[in-house]
Amino acid sequence: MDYGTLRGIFTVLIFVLFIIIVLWAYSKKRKSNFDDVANSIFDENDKSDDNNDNEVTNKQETNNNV
Amino acid sequence: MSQSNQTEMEYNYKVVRQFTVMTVIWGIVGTLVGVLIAAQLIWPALNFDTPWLTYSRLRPLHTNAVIFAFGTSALFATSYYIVQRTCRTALFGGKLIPFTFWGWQAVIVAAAITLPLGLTSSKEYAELEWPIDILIALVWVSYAIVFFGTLIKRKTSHIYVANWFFGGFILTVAVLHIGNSMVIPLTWTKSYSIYPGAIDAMMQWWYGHNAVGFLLTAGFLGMMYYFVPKQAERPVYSYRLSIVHFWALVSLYIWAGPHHLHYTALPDWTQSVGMVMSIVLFLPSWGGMINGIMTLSGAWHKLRHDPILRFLIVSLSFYGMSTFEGPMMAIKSVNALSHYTDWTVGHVHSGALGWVAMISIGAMYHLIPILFNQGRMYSTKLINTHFWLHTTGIVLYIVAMWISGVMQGLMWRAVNTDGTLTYSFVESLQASYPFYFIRFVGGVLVVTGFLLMAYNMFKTMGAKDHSLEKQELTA
Amino acid sequence: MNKHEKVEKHVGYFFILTILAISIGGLVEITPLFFQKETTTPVESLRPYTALEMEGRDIYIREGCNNCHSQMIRPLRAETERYGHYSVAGESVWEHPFLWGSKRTGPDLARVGGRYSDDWHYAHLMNPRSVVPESNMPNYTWLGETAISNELSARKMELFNTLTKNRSHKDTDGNNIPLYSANDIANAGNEFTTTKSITGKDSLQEVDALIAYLQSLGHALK
Repeated sequence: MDYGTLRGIFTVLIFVLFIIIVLWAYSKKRKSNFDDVANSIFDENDKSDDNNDNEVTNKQETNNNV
Repeated sequence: MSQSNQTEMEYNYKVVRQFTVMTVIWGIVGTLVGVLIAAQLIWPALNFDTPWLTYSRLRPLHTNAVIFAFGTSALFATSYYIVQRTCRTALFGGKLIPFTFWGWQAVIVAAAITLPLGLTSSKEYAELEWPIDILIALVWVSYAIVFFGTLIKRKTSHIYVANWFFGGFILTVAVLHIGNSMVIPLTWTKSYSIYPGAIDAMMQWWYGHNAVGFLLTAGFLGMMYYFVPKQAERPVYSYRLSIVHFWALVSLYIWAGPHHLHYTALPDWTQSVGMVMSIVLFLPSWGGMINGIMTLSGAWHKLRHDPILRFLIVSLSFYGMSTFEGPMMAIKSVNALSHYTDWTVGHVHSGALGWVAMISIGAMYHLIPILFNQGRMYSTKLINTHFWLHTTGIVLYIVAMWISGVMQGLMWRAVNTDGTLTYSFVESLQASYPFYFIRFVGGVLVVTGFLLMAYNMFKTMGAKDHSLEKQELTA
Repeated sequence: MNKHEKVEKHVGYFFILTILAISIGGLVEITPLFFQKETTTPVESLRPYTALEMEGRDIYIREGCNNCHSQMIRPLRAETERYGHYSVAGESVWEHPFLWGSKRTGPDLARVGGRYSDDWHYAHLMNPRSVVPESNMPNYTWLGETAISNELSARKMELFNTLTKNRSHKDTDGNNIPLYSANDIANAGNEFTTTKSITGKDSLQEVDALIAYLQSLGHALK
């Protein structure tokens, strides 16, 4: 197998992997899970006494389309 | 400054504070050296016939100071802060944690001594000689242990996206640094790269471009994915997009190095691969920018009153601009004009001053009050002044370099009807002087901004705990 | 547990996948270069640096000349018109490190050898504006006041023999000829005693080495 073919196979593999990641990321099932993670930075009721941070109590949705 | 409340016990903020303060100080030093060498390009007598004050020795000092002293200290500070908060656990690593701080400062001091002395490997952004390179590797491995150790012992189920970017940057920089620093030492202060000619060039720009791609991009995107949502008080626009753009960015960036070597003696096939990948790289880059800026959708009014948020969002605009300009300059025909000219210098600074510095400055202004038990910075007005000084400085800088760069490119290639060259080299230099002056003025504005920042920071640190109360930024 | 969730939740997977993602590009672009004739075979007329030139090259590196001067002529018409034949990879095979540069605040130097006299270079290095009034190059006056040492020259030659081991010229039997023979190495210091300093001083100065290096640039292809 020459170098060009090898490179071709690589490219296809990477592309397939990319599609898998996209499909996974954009599956409907993941959405609410992602929203939790995205909001996790706001609920750092850190065990500290100084609460300088802006607390956001209600979970906000991330974008639905992108 | 001392603090003994619970925060201290739960999270290790000491190292974050140390790196935060040093970020501001190295920011001043790095840009000050930049202004000096900008002046030397107009008034060459400013080296006073002194070896260690000479442009060609100080230029690497400037680049190393801004990238590794200022930028990387900012990355240390923010990654240590973010990884603890998002993992709900203190830093892992015990003595390794202070070692990363003191070790890294030692690297910077060693650089500040050896580079002006002319001890250099000559490879851009990797000029430091081999004993310092070894120290860098040790600090970096410790950094990786601390960071990944903290991730492993986290108390949350998911790893928040900012940490992926930090993780990706830490790993890749280790690989790049070790790969490109392979040398055979002659003495303690002199060594020769093991790679020959064209291969050395390829190694160098594999390293050089990915220092940009991972240290100056992925690392700072990690910063962005935490501080932009935090400061805007909204979750990131699209978490899914962040996943896709992370993997795309990480796997594509590594290919882009050869665009630094267009039309050189590097084999053509490598140049072509590098060019294609650089152009494709535009997509994940803009994915990140859109994700950051759109986080503000529905909350745009906050920009009017919050200068910290303005720093963060304008940094993303500069990021978008440089990552559009970059792929364009990676096209061979454009590169034929832009390469070797000031255009490249302008491009680098729209990335470094626009993206890297502004996102760091925004993050620092967010961090400093939290780290020093205050509700806000000493003066919000000064932050606003800093914003305008910095922005005006950058615009002057990059516009000047665009004009002088394109002009140089055009003058170098201009030919008369009989086929002879229209301009001598020095004519292109002569034509550049007015723009060098404008660049110098832009640099002075940036340094002034940094000085205001330091003043504001020390005032905040010096104030009595909790004496600076959070103000509601009203519409 | 779903696939990407595993990656997200296990640091180990993340570690491996990232390394994988960043390795492919580097491997594909870099490894073949080690085996390509173009990047590993010296052009026929290439000769190694003399001991003095080698010291000059290290001064070039020390002073950071490569920050403002490239040594890489691109195959573009205006460029070959200005600087001479475009650079080829075979000229750089013994260059450790490469000194192609990335910025031209001053002109390219890949073929500057023989373009100007030694006297011109001396005047120019001491005070560039004495010969090019518009220049913004700094004065390098100390190069004319510091004696050049050849203490390490022999060791440098040996080190370059090691570095270029399989990439040197070949004899008729196809065996590699080292860049420097045992004789060259033993007599590395001779050049320093037989050459006269352009500064008029009794011993050779750093500027002499630098000029020797500059005059050697581009000798392989004119």
